[in-house]
Amino acid sequence: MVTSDLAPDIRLKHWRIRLEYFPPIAFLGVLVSVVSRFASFPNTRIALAEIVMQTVGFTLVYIFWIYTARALLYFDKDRLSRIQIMTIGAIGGLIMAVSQSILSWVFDIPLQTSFLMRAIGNVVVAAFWLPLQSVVVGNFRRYARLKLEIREEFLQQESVQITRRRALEEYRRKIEEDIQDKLKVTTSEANKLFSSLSTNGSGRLPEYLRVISDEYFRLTAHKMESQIKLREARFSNMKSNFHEFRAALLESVATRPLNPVWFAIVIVVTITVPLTAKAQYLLIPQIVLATGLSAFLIQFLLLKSFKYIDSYQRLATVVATIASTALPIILAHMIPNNDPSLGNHIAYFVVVITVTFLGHIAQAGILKEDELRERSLKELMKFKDSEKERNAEFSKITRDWAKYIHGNYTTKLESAALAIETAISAEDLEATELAIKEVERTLKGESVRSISSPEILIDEVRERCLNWQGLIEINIDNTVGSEIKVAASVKDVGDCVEEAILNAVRHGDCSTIGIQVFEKTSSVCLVISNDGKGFSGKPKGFGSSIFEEATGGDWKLWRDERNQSTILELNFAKS
Amino acid sequence: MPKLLIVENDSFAGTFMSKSLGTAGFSIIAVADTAPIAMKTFRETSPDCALIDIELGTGPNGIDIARAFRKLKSNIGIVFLTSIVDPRLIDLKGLELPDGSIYLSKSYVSDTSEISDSLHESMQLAKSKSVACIIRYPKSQLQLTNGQFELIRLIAEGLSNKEIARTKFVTLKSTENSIARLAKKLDLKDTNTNSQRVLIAKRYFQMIGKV
Repeated sequence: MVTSDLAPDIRLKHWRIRLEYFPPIAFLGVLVSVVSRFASFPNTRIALAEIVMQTVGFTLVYIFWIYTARALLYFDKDRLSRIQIMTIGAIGGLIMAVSQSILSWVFDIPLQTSFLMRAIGNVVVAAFWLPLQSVVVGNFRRYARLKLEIREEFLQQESVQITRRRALEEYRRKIEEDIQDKLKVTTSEANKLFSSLSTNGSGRLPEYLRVISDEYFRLTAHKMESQIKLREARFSNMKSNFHEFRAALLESVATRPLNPVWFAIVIVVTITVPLTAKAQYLLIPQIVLATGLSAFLIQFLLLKSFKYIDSYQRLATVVATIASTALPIILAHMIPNNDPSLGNHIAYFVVVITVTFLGHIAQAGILKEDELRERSLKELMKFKDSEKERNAEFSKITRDWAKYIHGNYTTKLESAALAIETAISAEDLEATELAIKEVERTLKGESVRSISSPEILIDEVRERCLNWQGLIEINIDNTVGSEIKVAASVKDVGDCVEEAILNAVRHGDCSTIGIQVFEKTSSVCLVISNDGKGFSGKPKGFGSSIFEEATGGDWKLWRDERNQSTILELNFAKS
Repeated sequence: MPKLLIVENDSFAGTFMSKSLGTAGFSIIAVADTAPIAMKTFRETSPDCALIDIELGTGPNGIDIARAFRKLKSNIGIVFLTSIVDPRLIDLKGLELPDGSIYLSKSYVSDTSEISDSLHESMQLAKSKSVACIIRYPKSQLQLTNGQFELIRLIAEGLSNKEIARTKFVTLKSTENSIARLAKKLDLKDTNTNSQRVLIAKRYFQMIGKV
């Protein structure tokens, strides 16, 4: 991923190269190279010339790496593959070999290895060196980033803890004010009631206030506590990740992990690095191959034997490293006419040990990072699940609480709004959609639902009658056919039925109501009759306006004196 | 120990009153939150008194239920407990509170013992015939006349000035003046006529505990 124009990332699966880290790495390369050569040169002029050659060679290689990588990234690529990176490295190695040949000619220094041998050495080393160094740098960057994240999280934790108490107190005050307002008591009255509660404890209203206030406060505190716990858990996870990562890096210096791929890479780099140097005892390819394979076998067998015992594994690593490094030295002495100096030995040691340790750190970092990433993902999923549970619990309690205070309509809206808020914060798309539908349903109520079948009409009539069950007897008679469509909404019809029953009970003092539903040519007719005392004069009041509006004026109310019943006829036009 | 039936659709208030009155010497039969449940419980248990909330949502209200109770048992003691501050805010003429019942505004009550005493009193009143409903509410809260109570109710019901004038048999000009005086008394500063009506309606719903 390209993070900026000046410092793009070259990201592999796990390897990350930040180009601004190249100069120090280049310097390290020059240093290793120079140390490995310095002791084996006969005079200062040649040694200095060699340093210049190495420095120029490394600089050219790094310039090539940087600009090739940038060029590739520029052309619509946000990352480079492993092969691409190794190819860039390999070409860089070739450039270095060429530059060394040219410079040796300029400085008039005879090179003791052939161009082909140096080219092979440089190409192999450079191909592996680039990803290797990038992994090492990536590890240290990760280390630094974790440390920074922990510091930031710690500061935020502090701030949250400090403000938490204040926030809760403030919130409680607001809730109390809100509840006092809802229950129409002034602050002084509330205070009086609260104090009376503490003295006699039997006041209904103060108890009511206190319980609601406590309940709401408890819920809010519960939510805040949950958030704090979540933060704490995350913080603890980050800390443990950091410590484990650091421990893995430190441990890797003493213990060589047993991943065969990385093991092989380290060995290849180990045996090819000297090819580029003027190490006399490693000029013969057979010896290079023999030493490399021997080193690999010694280390692999030793480590495999002790893989289950940590302390022995460390010891085995040390022994294996020494043995595999010492073997070429012994072999070098056994070759006729080959008498390596102490400088040769030191140079070889520096190179091998450096590459070995870098390999250790790189591999340990990658393995640990994989492990931590996987674990963090699992932890995150756990957090998400528990967060969802907590939110669901909070939502349920709050909704229950809301029922205590608000009316049905407000409660529904408030609950639905809360459900949306909770669902969004939990990033639960399904729950969000459900909650939005709930709000729509609540806002629309039943008012916009039209009557498209007789079942809808009869269900609504029955539902409105249900509330009166037990108070009066209501008989419903339906003769409507299978298909009807009425222009009026379900709510309009329901309201008419409700109002008719209400008037019959309150003003007519009736005990039985009969509702007949039947179909006319252009309308659906509801006849609501009751055995009450009837009415006098012209019907007026709130009920009249409801009937008028719902039926479009097609309604009438009359008294049937012969049957002693009051009859309301409502005609709803078909659509 | 008198048997008490509580009719309350607010579950918290119902539970709370049940516990409080249970300790005050009543045998709590049930807390019914709808009319059908109340009627069913009543028929099965025949309580001595009932504590009824007037506002029960859609359908029959507490007064309808009380009247049904009285039809089944004439000597049942009835106490209405409501959040409506002043009974004049609702159309009592149409509601016809049962004789011998007691109307208690929640704002008037500060102690459970007041409800308990009222229940005992209502049982006595129910035995003596033709005693009008006793209404108890904090009189100091609203300084409105009966006419103003009716006016605020009509505005909240959504009647236009013309409709109010027709209902009260007065002129349109007189209605407008009455509304202006009402707004002043309610301390509503907004002079925009439409906003003022909304604010008056809002104040009404606050007073009857719906907002």
